[in-house]
Amino acid sequence: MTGLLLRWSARHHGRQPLRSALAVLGIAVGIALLVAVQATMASASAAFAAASEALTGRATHAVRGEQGFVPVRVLAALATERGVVAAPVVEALVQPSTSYRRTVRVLGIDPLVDGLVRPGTGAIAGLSLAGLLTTRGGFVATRATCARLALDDSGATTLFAGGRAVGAQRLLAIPDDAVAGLLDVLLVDIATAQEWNGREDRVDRIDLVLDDGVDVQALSARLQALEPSIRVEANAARASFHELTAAFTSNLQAMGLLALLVGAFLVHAAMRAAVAGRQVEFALLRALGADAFRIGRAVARESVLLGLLGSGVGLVCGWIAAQLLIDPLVRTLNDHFATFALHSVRLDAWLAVTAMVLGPMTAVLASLWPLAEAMQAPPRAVFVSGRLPQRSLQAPLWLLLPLAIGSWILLQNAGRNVVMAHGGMLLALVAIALVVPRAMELLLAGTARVVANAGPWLAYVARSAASSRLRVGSSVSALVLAVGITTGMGAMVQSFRSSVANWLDEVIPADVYVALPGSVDEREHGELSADALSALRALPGLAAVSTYRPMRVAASFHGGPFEETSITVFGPSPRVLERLPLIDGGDAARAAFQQGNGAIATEPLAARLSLTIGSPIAVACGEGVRRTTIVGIERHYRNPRGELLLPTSWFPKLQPESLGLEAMSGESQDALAERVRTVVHALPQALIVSTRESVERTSLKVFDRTFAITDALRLLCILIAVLGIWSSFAALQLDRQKEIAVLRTLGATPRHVVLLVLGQTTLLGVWAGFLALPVGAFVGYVLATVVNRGSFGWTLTEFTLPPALLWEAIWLAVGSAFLAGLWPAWRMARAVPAVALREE
Amino acid sequence: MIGIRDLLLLLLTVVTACGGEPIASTGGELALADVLAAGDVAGYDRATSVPTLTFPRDHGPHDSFRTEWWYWTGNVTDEGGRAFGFELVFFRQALAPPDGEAPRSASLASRELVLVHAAVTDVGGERFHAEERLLRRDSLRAGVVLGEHGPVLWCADWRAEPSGAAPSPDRFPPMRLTARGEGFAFDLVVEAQKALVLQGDRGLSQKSSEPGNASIYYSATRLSAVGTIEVDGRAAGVTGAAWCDREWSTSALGEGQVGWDWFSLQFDDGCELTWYQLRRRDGSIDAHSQGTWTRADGTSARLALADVMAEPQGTWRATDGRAEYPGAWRLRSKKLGLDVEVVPRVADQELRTRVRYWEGCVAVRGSCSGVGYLEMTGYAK
Repeated sequence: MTGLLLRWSARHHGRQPLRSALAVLGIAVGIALLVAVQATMASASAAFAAASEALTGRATHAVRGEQGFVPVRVLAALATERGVVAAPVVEALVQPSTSYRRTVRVLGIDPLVDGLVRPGTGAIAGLSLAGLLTTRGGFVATRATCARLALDDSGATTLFAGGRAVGAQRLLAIPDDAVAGLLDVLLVDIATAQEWNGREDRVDRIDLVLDDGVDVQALSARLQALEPSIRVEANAARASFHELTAAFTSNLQAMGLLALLVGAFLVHAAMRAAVAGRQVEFALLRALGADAFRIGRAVARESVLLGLLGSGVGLVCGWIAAQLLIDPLVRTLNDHFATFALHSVRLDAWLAVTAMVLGPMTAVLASLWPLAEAMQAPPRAVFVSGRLPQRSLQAPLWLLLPLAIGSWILLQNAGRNVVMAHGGMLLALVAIALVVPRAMELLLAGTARVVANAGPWLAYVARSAASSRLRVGSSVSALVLAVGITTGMGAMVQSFRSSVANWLDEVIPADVYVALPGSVDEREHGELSADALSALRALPGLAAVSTYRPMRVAASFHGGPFEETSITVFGPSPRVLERLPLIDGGDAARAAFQQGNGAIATEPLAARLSLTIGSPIAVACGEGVRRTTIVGIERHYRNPRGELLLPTSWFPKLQPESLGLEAMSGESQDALAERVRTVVHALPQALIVSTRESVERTSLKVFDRTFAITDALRLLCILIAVLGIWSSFAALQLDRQKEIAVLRTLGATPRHVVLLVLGQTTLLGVWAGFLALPVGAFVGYVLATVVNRGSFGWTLTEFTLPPALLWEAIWLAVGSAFLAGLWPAWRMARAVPAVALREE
Repeated sequence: MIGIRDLLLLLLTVVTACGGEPIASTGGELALADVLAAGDVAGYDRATSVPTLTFPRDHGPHDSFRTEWWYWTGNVTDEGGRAFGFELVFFRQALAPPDGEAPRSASLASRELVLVHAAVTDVGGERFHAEERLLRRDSLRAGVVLGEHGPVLWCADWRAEPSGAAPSPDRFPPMRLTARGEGFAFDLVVEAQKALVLQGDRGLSQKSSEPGNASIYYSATRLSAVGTIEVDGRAAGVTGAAWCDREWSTSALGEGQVGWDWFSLQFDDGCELTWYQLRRRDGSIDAHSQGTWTRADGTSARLALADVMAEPQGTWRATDGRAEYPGAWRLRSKKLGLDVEVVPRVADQELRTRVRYWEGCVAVRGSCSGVGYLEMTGYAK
């Protein structure tokens, strides 16, 4: 009997290679998705870790100064401490003479000790140790960075540091991927960085690797006795980095999981099509005496083979897709978290093995249910009708209730737990997927009734679609989910975008902004020169000036330990203060802030550290540690880690990094901008002048770039849904060869057949599109309100579901279904009825 | 004294001057010829004539030369007779000659390195601890300067500085030497018992036939040492005898020299022997090998290659098998009436630092007895 079953299996697939290929395709698509998302994330995460290691290295602590620098005598004192590795760091910004806007970050380290803290950077610096120490302006950079600086063969160039021209000399061009974290960085000796930065007797910070036995408190006290303005802090950067990545990674993984869910339904659909089309054969085998176990084993064997084949194809396709995902992913991460390079995705063995196991396993599981149904049906009934009794193919709707309850509980209690939020959404989506076939059944039955009198062809199209609903139920569920998720992601992004746009409107009330070039993170290292400040403040037609100085200081919350915290030393004009988008605190907060009696926390910081009005904080500022309270919470979308706004009166010696200039009433913004440009042009310091519109435009451009990864995933989701629905529809239509042949013999023309097939698939697509709308709204809402807040602490002020997005959903579904019907329609129309009848 | 100092520093120069080449490409054992070939001496002063030395000025650094060191070794015992050896050596190494431009404004700018080795041998406990420190000469974390009474040297927490003025210009000023490493520490004051000894030709120590391949070299061959030594957490008050070598040069070694064996021996009768022999690739001893015999009264005499015969006795293999050194030496000199065995007081006194070499305290037995220090290089495989 076993031999017979083997031959039966082989002949079945040999006779219908196309159908087998479709099953393989379904599995391949699911696996490809899994591999693409997992491989991309794993590679990104490894690159992230490497970048993190390159930048913060093994440092356990850091010495920082309240004014943003540490005198070098502290370094000398640290050299005599036992169990302490002290690596000074000076960062600077320089501009290539070839590009006014573009800045390059300079990382100044001591090559002799840096290897003990940052092995990668230390090793790179070690390659050119003598050059770095002895060449004025000597630097090491990646080849890409050198190319960007347009160096000639000599490697010598002029750079602008703080408005001064400085000579620079390339010592060594390293491969772009030599050390993560060195992208667009000039690695220089600490002395060169000191000179370029104009900080000859200071360093920015000193990274420390402390032995376990070192008493940090005592060390801190000894150093403070020498230099009261400095502080030894535990290295928070590393923890926060992982924290950041965790939120981001879990978001992406959840999106990947959603896509995998779509894939799983496709695998199920493919296997179901493969098994369900053989009901008569199963009945025949059972009539011949084969027991359910033997048939099951034979089918399982087939499934494993199909699964392996599908996994193999999926692995390759997934790897290719991963290469496509890298760029948007890295762009997003670079915009927000850290600069690192990732050029290719590596496929690790574990993922490959998982994929190779998961494919066959899913295939076997997916074939079990249809097989069990086939085994339960009496063979005689199958012989008579040629298919299974209708009732046996119903989805287990009793699962709905526990799924819905589980989802509700998870979403209600998610809070800042992203995993719970995603879990809740996933359960809800599974429930939706289960209910979709039933909903589709009702919709199609209704359609059939409505069009019953609209002509024989239309009625036939509706009826035949209704009768095929169970065969394509899983694929339609997949399509509904794919389109729904796509719409939901779109809705979330749209809502986010309009919230940000509103916010920008509120926080950019000044007319003209003057700032140092570079990203905000980079600008932490610079300040406006005294010349620039006095020239700008003296401009005619100027009504008010707001000042900004982003930097990092040590701060303690709720009496806890001091940790590195982003702050903006903020000197708002009355108008800017009035329009500050406060979620909590109101005018009392504005008044207190203006008088220097408190700090304002941004929403993500407040969410992360559970800060409310009145929460005690301590901030190390210019005049020692200032203990105060939070007086307001500001809506703020820029920094996902959050930051504090502190009054300028706390930092009397600090110069601002950027200015917001307001024109007098009656004065035009453009006229002011023009005057500012004239003044700035005459200054030695390179500054960027932007109008309100251009700031808003640039901010939204960065925002759009941030969601490039989401777009890529959306695209992938749709692509997979189209492929899946195509394979499912193709299998469905191939199963109906006999039916079509009969129609043809009854007088239907090939054109009729095309219309029939396309009409049927389009109808399924239309209803899938409509079903996807509530799914999209649900996914969008959960992403916008639960997941975003959980991940980043951002509350979106708006949740919008633009009509265009809804139309897009319907068009996506209809378009996918229509496209999926094209090939089967063409094939059916070309089939010779006599041959089709004979083959069946 | 010529020795590991040159190899260490030239090696360092090679490693650091190689610019575009990865460090890995200089890994493994370097041939001495490669080391020598890499040295660019342009822009530095060279030791070409007999120097006129003035003290304490010349105890301080000579920045126009590329390489310089202050080298202390000694044998001490505690009250219970427990014996220890110690070593503290400060190297100054320029990475580039002065460029003639205005001094750099950055406080951390430096074109020189300070490399320090410290070691302690616990003879009774057969323990040996050694560490190194390497920093730029920024005069903050590490520096070599001339103080009021003599050289002030420091690198991280290791220091050597005068504890007072020299009783006369021909004596090395009393120095306090402090270092603390993993499992060891010492805090010693070393004070000259004899006048300085000018090595070679009145301080010019020719190392090969090429003019300029020489160093300025003088020694304080007998210093008293008093202080504390700590090994594995146990501190002991100690006294004994120490030795100091001062040398600076820009290039010193000749082609084909693969290693050397250097002896600084202090005999119980108050005499001292400085002897070094340079080994050539073909196994022969280089003609520029030489030494100095210092009598108890402080007078000294030059020794040429023919005056002393040094023969290795047996072998000692490093625990990891990557180096094999002579186990002991027999030194004979008809001219001095000397026939002694020089035996390491602890077999394993190998410094496994950036460059591997053996340097440790030795006992002298035979026609005269005494103690000393021995350095052996070029034996690593």
